[in-house]
Amino acid sequence: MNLKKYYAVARNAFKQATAYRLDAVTTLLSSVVFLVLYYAVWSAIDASGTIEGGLGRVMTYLVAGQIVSNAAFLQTEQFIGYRVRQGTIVNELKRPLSFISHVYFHELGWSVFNTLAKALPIAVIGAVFLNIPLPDPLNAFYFAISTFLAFNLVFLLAYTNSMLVFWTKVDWSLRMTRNTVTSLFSGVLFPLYLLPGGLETVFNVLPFRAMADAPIQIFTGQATGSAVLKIFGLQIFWLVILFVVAHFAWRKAKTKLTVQGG
Amino acid sequence: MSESENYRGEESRISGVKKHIQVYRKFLVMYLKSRLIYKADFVLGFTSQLISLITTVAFISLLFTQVESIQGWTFNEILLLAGFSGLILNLHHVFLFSLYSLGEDYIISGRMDRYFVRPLNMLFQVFARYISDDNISKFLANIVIVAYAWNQIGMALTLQKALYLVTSVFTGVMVIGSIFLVFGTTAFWTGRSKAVFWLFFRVSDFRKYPYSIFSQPIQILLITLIPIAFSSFFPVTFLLGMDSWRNWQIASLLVGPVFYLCAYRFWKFGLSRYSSTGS
Repeated sequence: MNLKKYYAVARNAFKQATAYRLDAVTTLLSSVVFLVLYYAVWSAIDASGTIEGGLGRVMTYLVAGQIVSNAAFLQTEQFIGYRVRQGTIVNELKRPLSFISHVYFHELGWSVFNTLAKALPIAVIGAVFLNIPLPDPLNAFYFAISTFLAFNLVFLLAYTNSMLVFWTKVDWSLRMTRNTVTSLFSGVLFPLYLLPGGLETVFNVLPFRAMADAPIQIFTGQATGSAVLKIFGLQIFWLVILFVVAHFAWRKAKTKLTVQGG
Repeated sequence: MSESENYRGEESRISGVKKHIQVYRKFLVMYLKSRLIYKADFVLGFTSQLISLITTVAFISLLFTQVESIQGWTFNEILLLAGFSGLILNLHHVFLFSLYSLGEDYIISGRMDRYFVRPLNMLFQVFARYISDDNISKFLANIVIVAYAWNQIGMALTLQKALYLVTSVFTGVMVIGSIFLVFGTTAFWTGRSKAVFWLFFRVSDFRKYPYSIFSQPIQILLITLIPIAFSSFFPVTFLLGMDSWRNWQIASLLVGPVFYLCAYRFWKFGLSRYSSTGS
């Protein structure tokens, strides 16, 4: 197998991402604003009641959530939607690599940039300003693997969601809906270990938990040893399911392909 | 534009307002027609905004699985705060959202050039081009949330409160409008505006929580540079009958026009710095 072409796609995307430095700074600041806001909110909650594990645990969880979401969350709908509207989607069928792998390696390039420019700085900010305990080298390694699996899950979900663009022709509302639903159910907004029993089952049957809560649990040290393997297993389980769904969604979308203009 | 007003005098200024209304109506019809080409977008935009609001309510509900009240604010009171400040934002966005892409869609693209040759107010032309219709669904849903929370709290709607409510919504829209105008105007120097607005959207989440939970630097920020406290916390404390914020409650009714006038001055200044990209 010739890997060169995949590498070229990812490298191009990375270069493209570096051209949007201002956006990177803004999203980084957004994450800081998010943490400042919810530090105040959870402090107030902590003062009015008792949180399981205390304020420190909540903040560690939220910082880890920002690291994961900045590294692994994607805007795939935009990439595909643009090509569908412009009609350049036909070129995708002529490339020496499949459409899904083109999109995948493009997103991977962006994700590498986001990890360096946003996720790592947040880890530093969290450690310096909020005294967040960073994981030991082994757990950090597991965390990286789990975040990479989360990236794959987010990619497959976003890719499947993008197939709807073939019918709707617009992408921002699809992207926004996926993003809001993902952030609520994945743990980025609300620490899932605080969920009351009945609600937890709802969150457990959905794939979103594997997209953020899984690596966060490793980061915070809630999961160690065999529990880490269990987390990997859960993520791979959802990967298989979402891959099959994505495959069928693309097959369905291809038949719907209409080219506007020409 | 001030130049055309000067030589045509007072009489034509009145017909000028009429003309702007007429033009706005024409733009509106044109806009709606273009929207109907992508019907799915219309429906999806509507739905996605509703889903994002449901997410907000779900999140607040999750927070309240941990406590009875946040600094004395109950679930329904927070809901009222989030709903009231939300409907102000949505009402603003429906008509005045286009400043969001001032840098990318108007200044860099050179679209601004043609606005200069038309005998219409520049800012008006920016606003007239775009109606954020999907914010209507969120606006209506936020009204429902406010009504629900109001009812749950069991407050009487006195005439005084009703008058305050309506007035504070309008001055609140002006507060948000002035923030948008100031943020948007920076694009005359930077050439871009979307990025700073994304930052504002994140900061605007502060409106959903009681002002008193924040540290002093943040409180100062929320009444000066990004004065959203005047379109959220202060007016809501009046509606809830909390007396300790009396001066701020009165100020909330006054700052809207003042801020907007200042912001408009800044806009004029930015506009005078505009040079075409020449494309």
